[in-house]
Amino acid sequence: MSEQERRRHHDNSDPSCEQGPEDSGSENLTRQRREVDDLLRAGDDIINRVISGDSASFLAAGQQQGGQ
Amino acid sequence: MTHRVMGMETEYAISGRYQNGDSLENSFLTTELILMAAGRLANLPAGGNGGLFLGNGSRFYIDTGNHPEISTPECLTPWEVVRYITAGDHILRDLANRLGKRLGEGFQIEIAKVNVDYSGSGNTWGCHESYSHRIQGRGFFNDLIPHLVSRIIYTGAGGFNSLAPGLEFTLSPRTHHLVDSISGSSTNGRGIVHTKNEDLTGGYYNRLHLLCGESLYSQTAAVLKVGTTALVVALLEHGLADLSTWHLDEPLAAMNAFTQDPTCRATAGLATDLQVSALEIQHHYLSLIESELGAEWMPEWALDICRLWRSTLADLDAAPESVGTSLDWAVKHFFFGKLIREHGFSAEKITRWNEFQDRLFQNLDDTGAVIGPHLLGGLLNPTNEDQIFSTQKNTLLSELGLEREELTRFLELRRDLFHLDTQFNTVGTDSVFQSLQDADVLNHEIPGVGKIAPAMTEAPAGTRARLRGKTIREFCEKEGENLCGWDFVDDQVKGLQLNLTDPLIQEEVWEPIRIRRRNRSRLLSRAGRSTDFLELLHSMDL
Repeated sequence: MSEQERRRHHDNSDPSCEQGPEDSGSENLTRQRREVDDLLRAGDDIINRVISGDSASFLAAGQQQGGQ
Repeated sequence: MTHRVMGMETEYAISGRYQNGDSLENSFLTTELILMAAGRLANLPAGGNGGLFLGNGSRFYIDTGNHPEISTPECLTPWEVVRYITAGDHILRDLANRLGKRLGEGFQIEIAKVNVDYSGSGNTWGCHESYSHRIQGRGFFNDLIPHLVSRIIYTGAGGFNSLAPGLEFTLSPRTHHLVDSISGSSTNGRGIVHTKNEDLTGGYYNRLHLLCGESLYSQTAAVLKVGTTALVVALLEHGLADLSTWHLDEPLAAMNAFTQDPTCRATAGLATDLQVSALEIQHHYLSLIESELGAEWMPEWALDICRLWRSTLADLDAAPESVGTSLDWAVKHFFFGKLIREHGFSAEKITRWNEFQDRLFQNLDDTGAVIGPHLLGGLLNPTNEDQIFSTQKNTLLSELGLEREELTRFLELRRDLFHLDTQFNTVGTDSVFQSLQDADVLNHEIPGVGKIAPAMTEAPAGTRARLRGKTIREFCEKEGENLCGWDFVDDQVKGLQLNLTDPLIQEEVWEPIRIRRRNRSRLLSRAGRSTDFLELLHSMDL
C-alpha cells in the first residue's frame, strides 16, 4: 500500500479523529498543492506521449455512433 | 438492516486500426469480441435481448450504436459495484488485446470509457445506474433531483462541452446532453431522471434507472456516486425527509451552473427563491441521512459512505486543489490547464476566443447558415475561411483584440485537449489515468473495492448473481441450447428453469420451464383469440 493509499485509508476509516494543530487547514492546502505539483510533474512524459500522437486522425478514427 | 440491490451498465467506445491508418468496421470488431467471449469465457447466451451472461454474473452485449456494453451483476454494496465495473473493464481489455493480436501485427484496438464524442457527432456513451426500491409512483423524483444535480461536484468525469464550438471545461460533460428534468427517453430528450422501471424482479422491487451519470476512473468518485445515491433513495423510500424547500427552481439550469465551476462556489435558485451551492445541497442530504444512521432500514455500509461523503465535501470546500489527485474532473482540470499554458494561452484568452465563436455562430445563425460544432474547424479550409472572414469576422476579431493568425493555434490546442481527454479514459495501459496510477501520484483508491481478478470469474455472494454465475459455469460445458436471463437460467435437457425472480435468492429452486413474462405478453398481444393463443403456444419450442 502506497503512502497515499495509507493516508486515504486512514482518512476514511477514522474521519472523526480531531485534526491536530500540525494538520491545520492551510497546511492541508499546502500539502494538496504539493500533491498536484507532483501529479503534474509525473504526468509530463505521459502527456507528451499522448500529444505527440496524431490527434486529428485519432479523433477521426474514434468517431462512431455512440450510445445512450 | 435492509439490503439495497444495485448495478451499473457501462458503454464502451471501440475503434481499431492498423499502423498505416487503415481501420476496420466497428460492427466487425464488436461481433468478433462477442464470438471471442463466447469461445473463451464461461457464458450462456442471453435470452431475449441478446449477448451473453458471463460466469461472474454480468451481461456482455452489443448495444445501440454498435458498441460493447457490460452490465455488472446485481451487487449489495457500492464497493462491490465498483469492483465489478472494473472487472468488466479488464474482461473487455483482455478480449480486445487478444483480438488485436489475432488481426495481425500492428493492429491496435482501443477501448475507451469516454462519455462524449468530440468529433462533432454529438454522440455520447452512457453509464447507467440501477437501484432497487419500493417507492410507489414518481412523486419522489422531485426530491431526488437536487441530489443528482449537485452530486456532479464529486461524480463528474471532467472534460469539455462537446456541443460548444469553443473550449468550455466542464465537471460533467454529459450534463450538456440532458434536455429535461424527467424523461422516458434514453437516446433523445434525455432527462436527469429516467422514468424506465423495468424491474426484472417479478415485482419484488421497483427499479430506479438513471442515465445522467458518467463512467469514472476514481474509485472515490465511483463509490460515492453509487453509495450516496442509494442512501438518498433509501431515505426517500422511508418518507422521512421533507425536501420540498430544497426543490430547484430550474434543475437543468442549476446543473449547468454547477458543472461550469471548478471552485464549486456557483449557486442556483431554489423554488423558494433562495440561492444555494451544490455543496450546500449535498451537505443537506448528508445531514438528513446521518440523522437516520441508527435506523433498522439503513444498509450496514451506510456509516462508511457517510464518512467518505463528509470528508469529500470538506475537501471540496477548497476545490479544485484539494481534490486534484482524487476526483476525475479535478485531475483532468489541472492537466488541461497545464497544456493550455504550454500552448501559450491563458484562461482569459480562451474566454475571448469562446466569445468570438459564440458571436460568430450567432451571426451565422441569424443569416440562416447551417451551423454545427465543427464549423470553426472549417475556417481552416481556405475556401470557407475566405468566405467567412470576408463578411464580418475581421471586425469581430478587432473588437475582441484577437489575432487572426492565432486561430490555427487555438484550434490545435482544442484538438489536443479533446485527444487528451479521450486518452484519460482508455481502458488499458495507454490510459492516462492508469499511467498516473502506476506512477503512484493519484489518491483515489478505496480499500473496500478489493481485488479485481477474482471478480472477473466469480459472482457477488449476496444476490441472485451468485446462483446465476455458478449455474453458468456448470452449464457452459453441457450440451443443449440453454439460455440465461436476469431472472432465470434454463436447463433444456431436463426441461427445468432456475427461478431467479427474487434478486436476493440464495437457494436453488428449479421449476418446469415456464413461458417467460415478456414472451407471454408478446404472445398475448399477437393472439386476439384464445384459440390463436393455444396454436401459438404449440408452435413454440419452449
